[in-house]
Amino acid sequence: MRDNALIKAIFAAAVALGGCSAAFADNVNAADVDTVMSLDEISITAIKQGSDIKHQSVSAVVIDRREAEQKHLFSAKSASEIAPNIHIPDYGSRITSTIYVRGLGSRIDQPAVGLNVDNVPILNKNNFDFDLADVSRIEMINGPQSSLFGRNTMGGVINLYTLSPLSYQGTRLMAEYGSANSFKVSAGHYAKIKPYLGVSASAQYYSTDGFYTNEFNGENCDWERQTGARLKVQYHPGNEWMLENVAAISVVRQGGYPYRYIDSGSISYNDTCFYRRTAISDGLTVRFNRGNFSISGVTSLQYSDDNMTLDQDFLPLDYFTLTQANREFSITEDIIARGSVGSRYSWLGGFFGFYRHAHMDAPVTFNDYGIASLIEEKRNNANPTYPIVWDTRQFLLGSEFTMPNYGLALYHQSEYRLGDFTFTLGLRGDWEHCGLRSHSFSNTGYSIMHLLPDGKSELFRHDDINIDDRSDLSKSFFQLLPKFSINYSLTSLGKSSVYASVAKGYKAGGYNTQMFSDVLQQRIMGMMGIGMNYDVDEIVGYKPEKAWTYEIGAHLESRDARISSDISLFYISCTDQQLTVFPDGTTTGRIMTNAGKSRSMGAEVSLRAAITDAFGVAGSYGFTDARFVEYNNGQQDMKDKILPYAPKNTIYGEAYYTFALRNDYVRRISLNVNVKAIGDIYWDEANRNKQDMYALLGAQVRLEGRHYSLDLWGKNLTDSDYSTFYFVSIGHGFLQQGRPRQFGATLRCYF
Amino acid sequence: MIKKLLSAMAVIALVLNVASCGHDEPEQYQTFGNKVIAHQNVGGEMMTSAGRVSVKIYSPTPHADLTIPMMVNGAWRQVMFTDLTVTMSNTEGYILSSNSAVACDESGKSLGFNVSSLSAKIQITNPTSAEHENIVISCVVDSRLYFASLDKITHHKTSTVTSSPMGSYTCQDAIYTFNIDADKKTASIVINNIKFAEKAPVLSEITIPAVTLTETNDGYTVTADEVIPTSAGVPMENRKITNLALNLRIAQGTFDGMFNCMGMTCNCTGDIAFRGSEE
Repeated sequence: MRDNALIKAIFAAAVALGGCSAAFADNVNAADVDTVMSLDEISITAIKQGSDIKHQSVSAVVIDRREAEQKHLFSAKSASEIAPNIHIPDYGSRITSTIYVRGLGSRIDQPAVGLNVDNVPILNKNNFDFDLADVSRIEMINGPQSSLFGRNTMGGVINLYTLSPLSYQGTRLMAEYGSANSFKVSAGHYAKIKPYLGVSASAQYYSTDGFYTNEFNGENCDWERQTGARLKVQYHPGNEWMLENVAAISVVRQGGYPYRYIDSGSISYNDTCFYRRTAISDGLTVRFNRGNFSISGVTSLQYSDDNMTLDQDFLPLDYFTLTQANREFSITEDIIARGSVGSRYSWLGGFFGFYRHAHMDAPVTFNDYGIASLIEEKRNNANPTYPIVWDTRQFLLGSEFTMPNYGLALYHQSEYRLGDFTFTLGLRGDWEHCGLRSHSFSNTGYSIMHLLPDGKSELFRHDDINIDDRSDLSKSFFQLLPKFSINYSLTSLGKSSVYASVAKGYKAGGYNTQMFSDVLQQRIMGMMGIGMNYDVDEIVGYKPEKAWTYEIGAHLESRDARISSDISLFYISCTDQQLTVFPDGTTTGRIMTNAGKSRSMGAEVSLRAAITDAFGVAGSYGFTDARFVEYNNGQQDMKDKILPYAPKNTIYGEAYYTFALRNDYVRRISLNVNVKAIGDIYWDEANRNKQDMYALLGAQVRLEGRHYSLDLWGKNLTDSDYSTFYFVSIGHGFLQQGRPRQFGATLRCYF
Repeated sequence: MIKKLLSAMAVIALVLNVASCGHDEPEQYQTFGNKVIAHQNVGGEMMTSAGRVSVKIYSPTPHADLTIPMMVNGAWRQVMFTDLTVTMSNTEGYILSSNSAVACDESGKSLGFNVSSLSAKIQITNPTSAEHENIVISCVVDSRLYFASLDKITHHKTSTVTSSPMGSYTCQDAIYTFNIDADKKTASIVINNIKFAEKAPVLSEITIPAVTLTETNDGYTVTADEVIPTSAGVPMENRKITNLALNLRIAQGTFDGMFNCMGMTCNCTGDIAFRGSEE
């Protein structure tokens, strides 16, 4: 009793700061009072880390269905808004999704965070940004999970789950309308055909006109149309066997790229920009239990076909455009065995393999202004007596890539309980091979004139440029990924514990195909006597990036589960950081390299408190101080500079109050006020540009009946002006502005 | 380039089939250079001739035989030196050396004289075709310097310090190649990947066309009062070079000197050694 009172006293100060909400767990009927959730469906987290992720030696945020509905969390991106130290900014298009956790992240190729959807690992970072209908649970786990999940989980893992037809039956309909003529509809039916066989089918459609206008043509540039469908079959014939198969398809079409030119302050570009994607996946999970032993197999097939076409200069000038069209197929297999010996020792062992095959076409088209300013002007400044004139005012730099990528891993984890202590030791051996077959080609030419003393000019020579380069590169990597943790249960404090852990994580190495445009440009300039010819492997290839994370934390929960808190402190040391640099002595032509070392340290705190049955508060705070320890980009030493794009602070707070009416039409009315604050965010390694911390105020009124809920909501109610992204292209700076004030209504019906 | 050299060395070792047989055997006879220009100071007069260089490398105890063109009794002939020490360096290539070596004919019969301070640096890029980067040989005969090289010498480890009223800039990535025409007494210079100022573009290739070549006791001097360089075959009149004076020290495999260009003074030094980590 005294301990419970102590916890409440500790949290009183947090309540004064404004907030926690009770972690209402899921139940079959959304209108009923929520109870603690029990998992019937099988999940990769439960298979690997146990069902009670919130009380493992990790820092994790778990969002159940009700909370996801209440807060309109339907994707990893939206869920990140309430999790500490996780930042998934909204910029560009759905291909440019980037996840930053505790300062770790990447805009280039390999992600620092893994993403699994209904047990299917999404291998390509470009496919991370999508919406789900009927989210059942979202788990956001901070800290390296590489010993269990392997490659590209250096910063953490995000798991998304959709509703299970064995635990939820009925029909769900949703219709939503909001600012910018945005509307979303979804429908799902969940049926238990037999006591042991459940089938569900869901579909959704989303459309928005966007918030921003391309002033060049007067059209909205960030419009979007998205549709998706999911079919889930669960077969649970007895206590021993469980099978689950999830097939999904999603299609995205969007304009995207509302980039504002800093000098003019406007969004204005003359060439087409769009992004389209079709993604299909199927994941089969099979589990066998007998006594203290279980073995699971998770098999997935994934296919995606996307096309990003850009006006690369984002100006009303004809510099150049590029297209990146990628078709990719992958297969993954994860086999996990678990067992225990007695009551103290349990173990887990597994095998993981994957094969991924991608083919990309990435042509760059140089147009008139680009030819004149980027090629002719540079060349003619170097030799004005013999100026060049390009044959055409448009030419193509073609690139095609084939990228086979495969890997194998073996992993083991042992757990030993000694009284209230739990010791965990894990190790994973991860081997990977990646290849790149490239074909770069261009057929163009130019004339070299000779300026005579009398002002006339004569033809000196004509040169053809016929490039037909092919390369076949490959790399292999092997990583040992250990993990050790100690967990101490505070049994006198209910379901509370403290922990300490150390673990290694890594991002895979590979090849950055986006650098090929630099290679080709340098090649052409080199043919004219300007620029260096580089070794392709040196420019586009990079090795794995590694990080060690040291963490201590606590999970605290009152006996009645009305108040809970998670706290963690961490220190991360990152080596062989994957960066782009300018080679010695050049100001143009970047290369990929593992040139950096960085460190990140910080803390995460989250609190939830159901003060009364009607009133509650919730909040989270993440602080990260991430800096370069060693990094010279060939032009400047960045030591002690703050890592760009990752926010220093992430804050979320909310308060809610529920009126229980219990009449025939409206059973409850809930009021919710929330605030999200992010910043500071630096936009470049030299820390010359940044976004100061900004706050977004939101509010919602929810009406709930027996078979429906109606949300009236507003976001960014103070219409805060902030930027989500900044970059430089051809010496011009661009910002993407955050979304303005929005209002909307969401109607859900349950039958 | 260093990677090429290292892999070439490995392949050569395989090609030459370094195997332990309990006795030394010559593995494969490699002619590494067919157009070596040899300079020998005979009685105070510098004699020059073209010839070939051949090498045999033995195993299991690495040692080598070297055959080079030398003037003996007034006539140029192939002279062989045996039992030379062999070392391999990832920056210098093969280095054959001997403090004192007996000169023999190609049958192994002594020619009656020794040379001292014999050094031969052989950099090979393609063992299959014996394509070579550099061959630089020197020794002392009758207290006078003998040196030989290919008619093309490439310096990888260079420094070009450009001084102008706006300041100084050092470029250490440029490659200087001297193409020597001993008959015409001219040399052209190809400079790759040179940059003259911090914000200037890298020039992938500048060629200084045939300029005056003068023999010295240890190599050549390359001079020109005024010359228009070319880039990709196009004259660069705005980059006219004046007061060109470079000292090519064949025996050491180095060069140094200066030239003026666009109001800037460029002091340059170079070595045939590859830029990279030492062994």
